[in-house]
Amino acid sequence: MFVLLYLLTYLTRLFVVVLKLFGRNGTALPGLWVERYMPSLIKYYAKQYKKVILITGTNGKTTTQHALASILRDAKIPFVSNASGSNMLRGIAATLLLAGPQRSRKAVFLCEVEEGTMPRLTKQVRADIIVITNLYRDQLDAYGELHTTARYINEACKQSAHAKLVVNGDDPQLVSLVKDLTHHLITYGVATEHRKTFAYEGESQDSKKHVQATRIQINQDLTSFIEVDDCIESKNTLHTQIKFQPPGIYNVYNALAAYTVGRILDIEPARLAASIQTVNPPFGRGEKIQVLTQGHVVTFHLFLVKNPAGFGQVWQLVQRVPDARLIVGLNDQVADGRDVSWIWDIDLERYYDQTATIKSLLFTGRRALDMALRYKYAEITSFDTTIETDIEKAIDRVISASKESVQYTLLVTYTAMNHVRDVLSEYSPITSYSST
Amino acid sequence: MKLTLVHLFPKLMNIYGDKGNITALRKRCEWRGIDLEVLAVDDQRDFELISRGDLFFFGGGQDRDQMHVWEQIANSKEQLVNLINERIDARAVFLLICGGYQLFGNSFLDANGVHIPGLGILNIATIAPGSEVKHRCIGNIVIQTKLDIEPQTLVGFENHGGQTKLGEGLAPLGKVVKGYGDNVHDGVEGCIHKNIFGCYMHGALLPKNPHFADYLIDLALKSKYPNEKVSLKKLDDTLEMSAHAYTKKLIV
Repeated sequence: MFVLLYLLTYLTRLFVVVLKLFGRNGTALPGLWVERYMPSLIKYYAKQYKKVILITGTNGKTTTQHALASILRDAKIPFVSNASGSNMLRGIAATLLLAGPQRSRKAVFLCEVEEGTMPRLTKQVRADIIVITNLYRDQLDAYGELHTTARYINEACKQSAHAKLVVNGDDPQLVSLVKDLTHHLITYGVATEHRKTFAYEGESQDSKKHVQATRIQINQDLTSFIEVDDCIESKNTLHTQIKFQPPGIYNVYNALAAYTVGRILDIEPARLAASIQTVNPPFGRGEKIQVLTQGHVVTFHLFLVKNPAGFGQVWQLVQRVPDARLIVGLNDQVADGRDVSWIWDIDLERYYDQTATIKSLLFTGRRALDMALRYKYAEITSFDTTIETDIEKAIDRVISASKESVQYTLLVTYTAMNHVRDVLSEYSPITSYSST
Repeated sequence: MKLTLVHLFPKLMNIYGDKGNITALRKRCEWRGIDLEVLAVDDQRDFELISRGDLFFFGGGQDRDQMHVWEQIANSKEQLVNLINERIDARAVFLLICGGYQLFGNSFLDANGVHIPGLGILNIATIAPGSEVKHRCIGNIVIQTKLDIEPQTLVGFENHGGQTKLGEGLAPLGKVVKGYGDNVHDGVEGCIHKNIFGCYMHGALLPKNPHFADYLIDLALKSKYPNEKVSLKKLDDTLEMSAHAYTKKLIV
């Protein structure tokens, strides 16, 4: 079997290299073949790892994965991860296939998994740790409904009887999702006073979490400083301080998730804090791209928005930026969600800070007019507002109009963000910090 | 002038941005100095509020939530139907979308495709998709109405599994220009019965169809103030109508 796996891996790598010579990206196809014709192959490749860690939930999968990767790297634990964010079955299959059999007996497979894919994956893969970050209404047309998504994850947990569950204990949807499960459960969350500013779906209850942020400070550059109480080992409570660069309180949860898994892997709190501190915001999660034009620097601070909850959190956060120049990009391709109805579920009014110093607001993307309407009906219109549905024109215009070094803050859906990146790449960006 | 909007079962039936319809009605009244009061009816204890309604909104819900609502009202169905019928007779205006539309009919489907009797106020029946409909009817939709509005089109986004058939003599809200509508065969969308307007259009529907929002407000005012001259103040709808036109252009 082992030899066969090696052989398949080398053939696949060869295939990818050959396709690359013809200028094509060949990683998707092998994954598709495995998914369609031989899903059990995933099982054999996954068995090569000592531990399998799965991360699922609506928001925060990628950032949590990146923080955990940093922890594993620093702890010198060999690992394979789907760092590219390909979190559907075919992407995961391709990752496993290309990584091949593992030489190290300690190797970890670290994998973020799209919620609907969970039960299909756990059918093949024996998970040791399952992290569930949160459960929000996402692009409802993707699966139909929130309850369906909850059922997928619940089913996956039931298929992974011996897995430890690391769960956001502040999310009522998750508390009820794991209620009937008998797994070893470890929860994380924040102190009540910090939870007030942060909305999950359903009524939150106060409960004691194993890992809890007792104090959170969001700095002016949107990074955070977190004080953590950890009573995973019931004997005594450990105190740790963590600095985290990915912006905002929603990312504090991702830092806590990564910390909790690190503790389960028996890594000391101080070492975890050091590893988490070095994590840069991943692709579009507060990542900055800078271009040099006419002797000054234009900075684009990118925030990917995918659903009402995520948008609300980012909206709340970006208003902290002094004299913010905002660009909101809404597209309606499959990867964005074809239905833009979700924008009417954003709590724009509730999270609007009247004292925020927003300088300008530009709407762009195929559905820019829908978004402009959403803001109009929230009566958030008191500053310089423009609409340009063509993303390329919109970006070109702000760059050519800038007479000094400025920063733009972008809230963009998936394909809108990719379009923005494409446009910026034409300007040869001078810096871009991101781990992908 | 004053209007009361009753939002039926908002706790459970609030999917796909349908909240935007309430926002649109609220703002369009507010911008004209019409006092709009919004009341929520979530269970039997709130039923008495129904008799105060001039405008009603009943949105869509997830399958399980729709069943929850049904379980709650099944026992008090007669009381609810009587209260609603009183308002229908008083020419109150109803906007029903997706799940709310289905529940007003003679039968609808539960999450497992089993038929459940509805409120029986609209002569419509919702059946399970047949073999020709593989999944759900999902996508952008444009319809052509015969309403006294300009333009006569409505734009939205539909997302439903159930296939709704209109009973004999019931007028559709409009003809489907692009999309599925009530079902994959008939090429019509929604229905009109007295001042009840049912359809599958999310989007949210009213922000991008301000002419239809005003049509509903105007109807409700005329029903409430039959002896007064009702004339809605014109609002600047440049943005709304360009969103309407742009969506139409994207789809058709």
